Order: sequence, then C-alpha cells, then structure tokens
Amino acid sequence: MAEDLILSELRKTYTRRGKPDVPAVKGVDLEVNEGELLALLGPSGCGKSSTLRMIAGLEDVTKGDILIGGRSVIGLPPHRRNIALAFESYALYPPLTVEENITFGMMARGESNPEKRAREIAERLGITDILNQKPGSLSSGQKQRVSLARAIVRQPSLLLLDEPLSHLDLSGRTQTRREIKHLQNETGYTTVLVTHDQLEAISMADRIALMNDGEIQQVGTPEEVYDDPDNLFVAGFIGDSPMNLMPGKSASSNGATKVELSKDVVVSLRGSDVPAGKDVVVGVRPEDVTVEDTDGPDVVRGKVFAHEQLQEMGYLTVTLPGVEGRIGVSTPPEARYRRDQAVALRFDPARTHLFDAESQKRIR
Amino acid sequence: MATLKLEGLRKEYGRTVALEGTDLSLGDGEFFVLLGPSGAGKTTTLKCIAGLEEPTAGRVEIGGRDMTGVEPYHRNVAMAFENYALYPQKSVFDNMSFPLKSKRYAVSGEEARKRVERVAETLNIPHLLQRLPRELSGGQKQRVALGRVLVRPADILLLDEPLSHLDAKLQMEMRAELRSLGDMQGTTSFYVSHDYREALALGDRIGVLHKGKLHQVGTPEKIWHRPADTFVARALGQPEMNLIPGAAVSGAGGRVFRSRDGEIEVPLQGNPEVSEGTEVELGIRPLDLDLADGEPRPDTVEMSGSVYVVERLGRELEVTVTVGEHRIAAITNDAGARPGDRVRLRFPASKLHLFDGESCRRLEQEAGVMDRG
Repeated sequence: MAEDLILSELRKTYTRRGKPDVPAVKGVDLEVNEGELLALLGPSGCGKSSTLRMIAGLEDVTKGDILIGGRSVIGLPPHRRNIALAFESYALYPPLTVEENITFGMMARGESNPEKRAREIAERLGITDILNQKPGSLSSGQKQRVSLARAIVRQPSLLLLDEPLSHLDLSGRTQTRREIKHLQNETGYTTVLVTHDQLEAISMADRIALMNDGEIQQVGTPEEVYDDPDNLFVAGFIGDSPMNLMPGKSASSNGATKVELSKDVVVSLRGSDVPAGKDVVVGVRPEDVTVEDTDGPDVVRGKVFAHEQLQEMGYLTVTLPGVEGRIGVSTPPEARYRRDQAVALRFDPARTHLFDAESQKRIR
Repeated sequence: MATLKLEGLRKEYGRTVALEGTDLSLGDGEFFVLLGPSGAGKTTTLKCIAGLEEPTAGRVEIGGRDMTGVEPYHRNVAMAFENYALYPQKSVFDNMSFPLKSKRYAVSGEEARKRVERVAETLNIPHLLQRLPRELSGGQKQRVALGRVLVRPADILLLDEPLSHLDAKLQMEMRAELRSLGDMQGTTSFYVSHDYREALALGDRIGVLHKGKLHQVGTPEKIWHRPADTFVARALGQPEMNLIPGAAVSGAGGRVFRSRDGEIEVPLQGNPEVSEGTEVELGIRPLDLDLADGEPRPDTVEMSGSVYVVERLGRELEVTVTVGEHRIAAITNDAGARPGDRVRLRFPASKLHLFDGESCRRLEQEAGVMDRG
C-alpha cells in the first residue's frame, strides 16, 4: 500500500550530439511522506515533468537516487515500480465498459478476482452506477474517476497525477479538484501531483514543492508558501492576484528598517535589520494592504489609477509618486474610489516581506 | 463616439443558429461587456457589428444610422483581436500613430502625438515609445498592440477577449488599465469575454449570452445580486452559486423551501406569490455561507452536514459540506474544519436566491428582503 518517496540529489541532463548539454533537473532533494499529497509546482520548463517521468521510470536518471518505501527503484522498468500514473492521456478503451476498463490490466496480468476488486474500487469512487456504461457516454469528471479507478485498483505504492485538470473548463476544474482531493483523503495514497497552476497546488496539496529552472525553490504547506515565501520567485508565483513587489533602497534607522521606494515614498518594516543603502524589494499581497482614513507615520500616499468593483470584492490600483509600477489593493465590496483620488495605504507589517534584490532571497 | 443598436439581430450558419434574434441598445460612451462561454455566439455578434458577417435577419445601427450594406471600413469601428502583429521596423510610437495617419482618421502632428502619449501613459509604456518591437517583452508587445487600437478616434471600439492569452499577472494589470482608460476616454465599447471577473470589472453593463440567447442585460450589481435565471447565476462567481432543487411547501410559520431529499428547510418569508408545491431551486453564493458556531442568530438560516473536503484558496478556505445528498460550498476564514467533521453552515436570510424549478427564471421576492439590485 502507500509508501513514502525520497528523491536524493536527483539530476537530469539532456545531451545531444553537437549541442550543449541541457540540465533539466539540477539536484533535487525531496521527501514525500506516506499518505501525503505533494504538489510539484512550477512554470513550463521548470523540470517538474522530467522529475515525474524519472519517478515513473519513463526517463533515465542522470544522477541521484529515487527510493520508494525505502528501496531504490533506479534501473527498474516502469511496471515493476508499483506506481500508478493517472490522467496521463485519459485513454480509456472506448469499446469496453467502465468495468472492463478497470479490470483489463488485472486480466492481462492474470490476477485473481478482478471483478470483485473493480467493484470495491468503484464503490469507493462512487461510480458503481456507471460500471456498465461505455466511456463515450460519460462526463469528463466521470472519465477522470474511471481513469483514477483503473490506476489505483492495482493498489500502487505511489500515485502520480500529471496536470489532471488542464483540459477542463473553470467549473469542471473546481469540481474535479474537489473530487480528487476527497478521494485522496479517503484512499490515503501517497500522491505526487504535477501542475503549473498555483491555485490547483494551493487548494489540493498537503505540501507544495515549487520548482524553477531545475531546482526546488521552496517546500512547504500551502500556508507557508503563501504567507512566508523564501524568495522572490515564490513570492511572485504564488497567489491569485499577484504580490506587489516594489524595488527600493534600505535606509538606516534605529532598530526598524525603512525602505525608500522613491524619494517621496518610504515604507517602514518590522524586524529585519538591514544595512543602509542595500538594493531590496518590498513584497506585500493586495489583501494585506488597507486604505486608511487618517494619515500616519506608517502610511504611504498615492493616487487612484483604477478601481474595479468585482461584487464579491473590489480591486484598487494605486500609483505612488516616483515609483514605477502600480500597487494592487483588495478592497471591501462596498468601498468606492474615483480615479485620481488621493489615498493613504498601509502595509500590514506582519505580512510585508523584504527581499535582497541581488540574491533574490528573503531577508528575515 | 456613438450609440450602438442591435435590432432582432440573428445569425444562422446553415441549420445552426449562432445568434437568436437579439435586441440591445448601447448609450453613447457606454462600456458594454458580452459575457459567455466559448461557442455562445459572442464573436459572431461582434463580427456582425463590425460588418465582417452579414446577419441572417435584423440590423445594426451605429449613431442612429442603419449599417446594413455598409462596408466594415466605413463603419468607423476599431477592432482588437486577441492576436495582432506589430510592424517590426517601426518604433512603438510609429506603430501606435501609424493608423492615425490614414485617410480614414487623418489625425497627425501634435494631435496624434497627444493621443499616443495619453494611451501610452495609461498602459504604462511611455518609456518604450522609441523602442522597436524586438526590444520589448511579450507583455509590453501586448500593450502596444492594444494601444494601437485604443488611440483611434473610432465611434465604436470592439474588443474580442484581448486579455485572454496573457498570464494572470499581466491580465490583472491590463484589466486595471482598460478600466482606467474607460473611465477617462469614454469611447463606446463593446467587449467580449468569457471571464466573469473581467466583465464585472470593466462593464458599465453586462450581457450574459449562452447558446446564442441573451439571458440578461444589466449593471454588474444587478447581474450579481439579481441573476435573471440559474444560467446567469452560475455564469458569475467561482466556486459557482450553490443550487439546491426542491419545492415551496407550507411549514412552521409560513412558506418554506424544502429540498427534494427533505434535508434542507429554509423559510421564505418574502415570497407570498410562490404557491404551495411549486418546484423551485434555492441559490446561495459560497461567499454568503460561513461555518456557524454558538447560538443561531436572528435573520440567518442554518443547515448542518459533514465536511466533504477542505481546499485553500489563497488565504481563505473553500469548505465543501455534504448536506443530505447535496454538496454545498462555502468560503470561510475558519481553518478548523477537517474532512468528516460535523458542521453547521450559516447564511443571512436576505442572501438567498430563488428560481422556478421548471423555467429556471428568478422568482422575485418582496422588496426589502432581497432588494440588493
């Protein structure tokens, strides 16, 4: 049944004659606990798919080790790794019924009691009523459950989901996300979900490993990557409305750090002690900026560029004098602002982050 | 600037009806968003307005003039598609000002420069005006391409999902820029989108189109708070509005909604006109639901069930609760819920929506109970 997965110093370099080597995965260390759903998240080309393919055995490992349940699987062919790869292609056999689709693999391997096992799994996934239907008559959500049933009926040690929602529309995505998350809770399979969609990762994963450029940028719970990013890449990648990232220069002060975004705009930060004159980036999410009625020492003054009333909430865009780019602010649904109106903004000090502009790393 | 009027506009392709007879009137300077999923007939509508498609029946009027038989070129509309190319050898400024020089607009010199600079300012590209396209990032190119359409002194601006292929960050930035420009410029605009947030953010009014049929036209407030039918209710908001099928029955203290499985009962004080036995669907937005604790509060309704799944959406959580045979989604800040927990959901009685079970049309409630429109 469910087992843990360890990637140790995993590397993949693609070599082609006469061309420079392309390092796709540059030494990844990662532990996925038994029964956990870990999302391998990143933009296209970040190395997440190469990593998944190495785990599945579809791709050779250049260097490093992969351990499933404590045993190295390097050199084992895919079918001997006891891994299920679902949603790979949605490829259900059209002439076969749902039940036959699920039992097909077991029959081929000459395993015992395929029908009984298929029925058990169908019950767990809530698809008993469609067992006699053919794939053509199913909704995409049902197809995905059948595909999942076929994958887990073998009782794999590890379940790999490759971009399971990418072909669905918005509402299908919300529904299927829910179902997968529920099923994973219920079945307790150790699961690696590969996705480029941060919302998918945030909403489904127990933990997220965010990759960029062949390296893991941060591993943490959804809360951690959302509210406590390790570097500028994580800060910019995670979040539905992007984090405001404002370059500036640190200025000396007693104890607290001040950052000059321009000669007229200075932000005070809590905690971090940074030498003066350093190039830094201040990061704060739109929901952690508030519009203040009163002036004060810790507000910055700007001008309304646009206010969008989205009914469930509002989104205010503000320009600050001498600061390039604009600041996004989440506002309550009932708030109203006019273009060019002067506003005072306050950044929640507990949720305002400071980054080193050069190393891109968080200054804590 | 001009008014735009569609009268019984209908388009068939062979035996397929792409657009049913559609009536619509846009005021001078109005920003109108036509919202619908792909295949709804949005682009067909746009093409009929631009003159790129001949309507099967009905007509288009621009500025009070019947456009039947008028060539696209003479309609004085400017049209932006999702993809457009820039002249590689021309600077950004020349790319944007070039169309202005044509005989059609005949805007040049100081006036052209002013127009370009004002649009460039809004799109955050004034520092790029002397660069060549190859020196721009993808996002900057998109802005220039859009800017080139926006500078034209057209009567009507037609925009076909101009932001749909951009990444999320760029989309939000440019949405704000379009909003800002709309506030400032006041060109009558007809904007096509499948993204409900875009529609709410940009539209003075929104039209919701589905399978060639216009389901509702109204202000964003109206469409959001008083959706005309279950289709409109579902088209805006993510996660979607919870819709629970049931019937209006007599209960303690008057008319109540009872779900088909009998598990959910909600008083319907404001609905004397819903007669007993009427099949109805009850709608509640996930955002209006929260996990309840303590004593029941006045003017709120509660239902109980068990947590099906918990998902994080940024800082908030989406909790899906199984109530009877229904899955009800709620947005909450309460991080305590775990799958399998027994919980109570609560919502303000004033926030419920009621639809006829058969026609799917909204059943209006007495003013004061639901009047948010």
